[in-house]
Amino acid sequence: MPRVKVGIDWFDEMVNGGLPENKVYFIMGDSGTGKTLFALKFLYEGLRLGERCLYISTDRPPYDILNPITESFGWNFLSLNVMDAVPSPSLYTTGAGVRDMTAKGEIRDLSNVNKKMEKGELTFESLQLKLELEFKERNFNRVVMDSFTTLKRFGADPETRNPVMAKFIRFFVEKGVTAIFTDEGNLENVKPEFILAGGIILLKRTIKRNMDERTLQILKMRGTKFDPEVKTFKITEYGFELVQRGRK
Amino acid sequence: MPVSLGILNLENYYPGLRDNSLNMLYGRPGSGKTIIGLQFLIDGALKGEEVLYVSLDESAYEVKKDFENMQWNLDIINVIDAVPSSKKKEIAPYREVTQVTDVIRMRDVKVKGTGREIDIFNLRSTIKNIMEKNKFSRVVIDSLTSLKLFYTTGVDPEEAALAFVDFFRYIENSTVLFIAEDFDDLNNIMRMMDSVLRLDKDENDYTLEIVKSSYILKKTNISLILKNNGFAVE
Repeated sequence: MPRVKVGIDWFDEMVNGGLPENKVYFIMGDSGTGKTLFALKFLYEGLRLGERCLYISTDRPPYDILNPITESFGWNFLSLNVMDAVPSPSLYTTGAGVRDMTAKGEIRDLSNVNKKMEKGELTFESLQLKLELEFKERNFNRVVMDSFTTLKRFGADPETRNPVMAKFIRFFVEKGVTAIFTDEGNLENVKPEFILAGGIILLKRTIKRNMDERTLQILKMRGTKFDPEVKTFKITEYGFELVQRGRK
Repeated sequence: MPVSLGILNLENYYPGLRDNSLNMLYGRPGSGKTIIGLQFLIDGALKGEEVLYVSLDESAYEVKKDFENMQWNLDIINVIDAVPSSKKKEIAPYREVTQVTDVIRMRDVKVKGTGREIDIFNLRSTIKNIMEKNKFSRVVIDSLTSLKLFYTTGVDPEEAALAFVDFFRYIENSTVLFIAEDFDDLNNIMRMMDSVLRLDKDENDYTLEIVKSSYILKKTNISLILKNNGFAVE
């Protein structure tokens, strides 16, 4: 099966040369564990290889997230396509339901952020519809959905959420995309989306002896052999760095 | 005669599933449930039996691709690809008794999915139609959880899943293995099962736990190793 490199050498080795292509992966972890950074590394690697990459952001405007990362790590995102899917905050206060909330769901090149944005709802179905239109224009090799948690929270009525979510995930698979979805939480609560995931990567951050310890573990990975051991890593100016440990 | 799961040397500890029974295998994501399901089917197919895989988590072509590196002949397995297309956006209850799709050999699985809208009811009628025409001695439903979560719009998922399982009681001469995720309440469904197995994975260590069985067993936690032709007991 063809592989899609994340661009973190030690991680790509853990999955035998890269993520198996054309699947939707979930990167899990609490806030601040490095999910977005991991997902952006994956997009940056795609751009470096000349692939078409799309970043969908629901929590903050894309450039608010991308600019500091370019500053800290030197990753250049100029050829990245971004979709600002942040629900408009002014509408949160009206007490309106989910369906009345608007999101700006248009894909723009990062270099052209001033273009007018259309209004729309942030729901699984509206986002899928917008993506379908975009995919008619051009295909993307890599997509990041950041965060899936927010989309799930606003994106559907509780009774229909699971089937609608399943279709949303199927959409990416049918388009031939390799996607990473960031998802908050840990493994205490296994979630329905895990069934549909091509793989699940868990990030953790703990304070040990006044030291920040970060770990990564692959919990599920279809279509390949993988290293299931817990890895300790650091985030440095070079990105994700493996902390080498003596053998057990 | 017990029906072997196809796991080498497992019979030293566990004889297998009862003939013509309902069984469940559950475990956390990534624990290897689908591998055991396919091994169980391949074991039957190699003995000349007709076997059926109902694919609900992933399209059949994805399953085929995922296991292309295993030393298996998946081609001889019959499959119902029940994964719907993302295209249809209206999700409405759909109760017509129509055949979703016919059964095909894994060998003939193409990249495209069925593209048809299905739910728990027309899947049941499809299986009924198919089972009237063909006899399958082994059936794997992968997964019951998926069926419950993603295919039960407009009905109570718990009751729909129970009704789906109950339907298999009336199919004769089939040993059925339902695969389930270890996160929803499985108690009601487990009560309907002749046996229940749980697969657990901790880093590189796999354990098969016999949770419920009508055999007298010396050992209920069995360590498994994963090789490129599937699970085996050391």
